Amino acid sequence: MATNLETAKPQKFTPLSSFVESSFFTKLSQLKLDEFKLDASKRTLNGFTIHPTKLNKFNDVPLINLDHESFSGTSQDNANVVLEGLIYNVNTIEEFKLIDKQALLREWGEATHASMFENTSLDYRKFNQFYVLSFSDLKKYKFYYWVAYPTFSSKWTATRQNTAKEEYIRLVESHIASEPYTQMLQLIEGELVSNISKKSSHFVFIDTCLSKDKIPGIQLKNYLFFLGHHGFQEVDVLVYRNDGSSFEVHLQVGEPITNNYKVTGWERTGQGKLGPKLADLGLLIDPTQLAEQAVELNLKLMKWRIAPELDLEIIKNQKVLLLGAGTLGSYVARALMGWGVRQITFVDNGRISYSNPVRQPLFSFNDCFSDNGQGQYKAIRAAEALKEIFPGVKARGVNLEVPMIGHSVTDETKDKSNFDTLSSLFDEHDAVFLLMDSRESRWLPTVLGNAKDKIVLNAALGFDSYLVMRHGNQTQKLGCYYCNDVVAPNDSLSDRTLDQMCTVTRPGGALIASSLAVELFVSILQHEDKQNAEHLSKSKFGEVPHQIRGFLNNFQQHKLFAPSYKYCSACSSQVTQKYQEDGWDFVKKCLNDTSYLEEICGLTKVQEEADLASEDLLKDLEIDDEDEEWLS
Amino acid sequence: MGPITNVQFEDYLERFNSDLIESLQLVQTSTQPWSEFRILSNYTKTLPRKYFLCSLKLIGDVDLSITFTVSYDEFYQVPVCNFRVNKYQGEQEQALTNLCEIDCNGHLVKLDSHPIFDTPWFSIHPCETLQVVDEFMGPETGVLEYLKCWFGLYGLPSVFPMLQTRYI
Repeated sequence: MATNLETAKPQKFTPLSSFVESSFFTKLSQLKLDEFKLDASKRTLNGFTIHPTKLNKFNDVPLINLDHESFSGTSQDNANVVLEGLIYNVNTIEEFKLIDKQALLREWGEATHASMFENTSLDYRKFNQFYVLSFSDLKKYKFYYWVAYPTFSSKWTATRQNTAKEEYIRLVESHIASEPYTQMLQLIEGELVSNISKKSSHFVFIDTCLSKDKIPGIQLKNYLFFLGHHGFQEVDVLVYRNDGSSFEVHLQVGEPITNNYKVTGWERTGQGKLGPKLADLGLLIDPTQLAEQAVELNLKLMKWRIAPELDLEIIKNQKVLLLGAGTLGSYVARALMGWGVRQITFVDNGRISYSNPVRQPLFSFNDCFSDNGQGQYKAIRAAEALKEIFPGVKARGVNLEVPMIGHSVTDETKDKSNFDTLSSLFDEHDAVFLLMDSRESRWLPTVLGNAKDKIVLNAALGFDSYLVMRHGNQTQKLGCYYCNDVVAPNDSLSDRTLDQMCTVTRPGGALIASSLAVELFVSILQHEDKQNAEHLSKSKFGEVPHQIRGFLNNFQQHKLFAPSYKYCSACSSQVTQKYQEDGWDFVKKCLNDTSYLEEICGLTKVQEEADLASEDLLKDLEIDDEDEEWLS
Repeated sequence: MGPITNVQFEDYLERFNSDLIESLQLVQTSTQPWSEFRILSNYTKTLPRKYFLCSLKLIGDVDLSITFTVSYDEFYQVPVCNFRVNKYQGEQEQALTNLCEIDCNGHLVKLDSHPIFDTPWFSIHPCETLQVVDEFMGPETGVLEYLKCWFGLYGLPSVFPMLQTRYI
C-alpha cells in the first residue's frame, strides 16, 4: 500500500555507532609497545557488524564492532559481516587534540570516495570503510578514540513510501540465503545484481538496523550518492528488514551531484555531541594494579565459606621486621606476602654467597658475584626481590649487624649506632621475626621485643629438628628462647669448625619452620588478645600454641608450653626494667660481660644457691665410720 | 539430564542468545538507581570456540555498562559467564575492578583470565554448576531450557539481581 508523503521530505538515515569491546584496547596497547612503538602510520583494521538476518529489536542503529581480533583479521562467519577500516594511533595527547579533524575526515573521505568510484560495482566493502583516530596512554592505560564513517551528501527526497511486495521480499531472502553478503543490489527484470546499469531504477538495500521509525541505516546514504553521481534522478529502494517491516521508498534527487562533495561522518557521542570517547582500563590492564587485586581477591576467597570471619585487614596492615635475610628470612617473607602482608623489612649484615641461592629463594646465582664480585648485601637484595615478585609490597632492606651478646663492644660508635637503628626499627614495626643463624644474636632482639611489647616469633633449626615459638611478655608469661638456660648466652661462633658454625640442617626444615612461624603469626593476629593470648586458648581461626617443635628423623611434631623463667637472661622483669632504665649502657655492659647480665637477672644467685644445695646434698651423703664398718 | 556437550551448546547458543536478550528485564526496586537499560551490542562469534557477547548500559543516577560473554567450559562441561563493568562519567568509561560500589553480589566473583580473550574479566566460577543445574533438570529437558536455567543460577542475574529474565 502506497503512502504518499504529504510533502516531499529529505531522506533521513540512522547514524552509525561504534562498540569497542575492551579487549581491543588491550591488543592495541600490546601492539603499540611491541610493534608500532613510535610508528604512527595508519594501519588496517577489521571491524564487524551483525549479519542482517540476525538483527533483533535492540539493533536500532547500525553498529561497527571492534574487538581483539580487529588487528589480525576478523574471521567471517554467518553471524557477522567483516568491515574494513584504518586506525591512526597518534603518539601524544596533544597531537590527538590538535590534529585538524575536518581535514583528516576529508582525507579519509577522499580515500573512501576513490574506492567507491573504482568501478560500477555495489561491493559493500568499498562503501563501508571506517576510520579510528586514537591515542593510547600506556602509563595510565587510558584510550582516547574517535570513530569516523565517511559519508557523502546528496539531496534525495522521499516522495512515497510503500509496503514492500512479498515477491520481492522472497527474492531478497532467497538471495541472502544463497549468496555471499551484499548490502545494495539492483533489481533488473526479477534478478538481483550488484553491478549497476541504467536498465532499472529499482534497488534493494538490505538494512543494517531495525530502527523503529523506518529510517534506514546510514550506509544507504553513500549508495544514493553513488547512484546520483551515475545519473540516477529517481529511484525506488526496497529497504529489506528481517523482522517483517520491509518497505519501499521512492526517492528523487534534488540537485545534481558534482565532484565538489561534502564529507561528514565523525561519530557523535551518546549526548549527540561531536567529540571523542575515552576508555580508562587502568585497573584491567596495568599489571601492577592487577597483581594487587589478584592477591587480595585470592585471599578473600577464604572468606567465602572456609573462614568468613577472617580479618584480612589486620594482616595487610602489619609492619613486619625480619631479623635475618637468609633461608628462614626468605621463606618467612614469601609466606607473609602470600598472606597479604605489605610492609616487610629485612635486617642482615651478610652478603650473598654461592651456597645461598639453592636454599634461599629470594636470591639467584648472579647475586653471588654482583656488587664488584663481593655478592649483594642480603637484606638489600631480599627487599628488591620481594618487589620483583610483587610490586605492591613495601619492602626495605637494612644492612645492619645486630649487636650480639658475648661479642665485646670494640667500636662503640658503630655498635651504639647499630643498637639505635635496631631500636628504632622495633618502634616502627608491629611484629618481629627472629631468624638469625646464631643463638647469641637473638638476645638483644628478645630484650627489645619484650620491653617494647611487640609480637615476637622465633624460628630456629637443628640438623633435623626445628623450633617455632612465640615469646611472651609482661602480661602473658610465655617462655622466651632463653628461658630454659641457666647461663647467659655467650659467643658460640669462635673456635668452631666450619660444620659447627654453618647452618648444617636438612634443607626442608627451614621451609617447614618458616611456614609454621608465619601461620602462628596469623593465628595470633586472629585472636582477640593478640600476643596476650593464653597458649591453650583458641580463636575462630584455631589455636595459638606457645611452641612447636618438630623432628624430621621421625616426622613428629609437638606443641609445647614452657612458662617464662623468673631469672631469664632475656625476658625476666629485672632485665626488662634494667634495659628500660639504662638503655644502651645496660646493653653495652651485657655485651662485654655476660656475668654482669647473669648478676642482673639473678642467674648468678641461682648458680650460687645451686652450688650450696649441691654441697648440702653431698654433706648429707657423707659416709660416717659406722657405715664404713657395715660396708666392709 | 546430565551435562550438555560443547556441540549441543554451540548448536543452541544463537537461539539462547536471542531468547535471552528478548527476555532480559530490569527489575525496578526502590533501592536500585537505574531506570532503564539499553543493549549496546550483542553478537555471537566463533574463534573457533563459539561464544556470545552482550553489552548493556544501565541508565540512571550513575550510568554503567555491563559486558558479558557466555562460553562453554570443557573441563567443567558447563556454560560459563564472564563480565566486565564500566562506569560512565560523561564520555569517559572507567573499568571497575571493585564491585563494592555497585549494589550487587560482587562477592560471588573474582577477576580471572577470560577463557577466550585471556584478559582479566570477572568470572562466575563453574565449580558445582553441573550438579546444581542438574537438580532442576528432568529427563526430558531440552538444551535450550538447560541454558536458560543455567543463566538464572550462574549467569548475570546471580551477580546482578536487578537483571532478570522473563521468558515468554
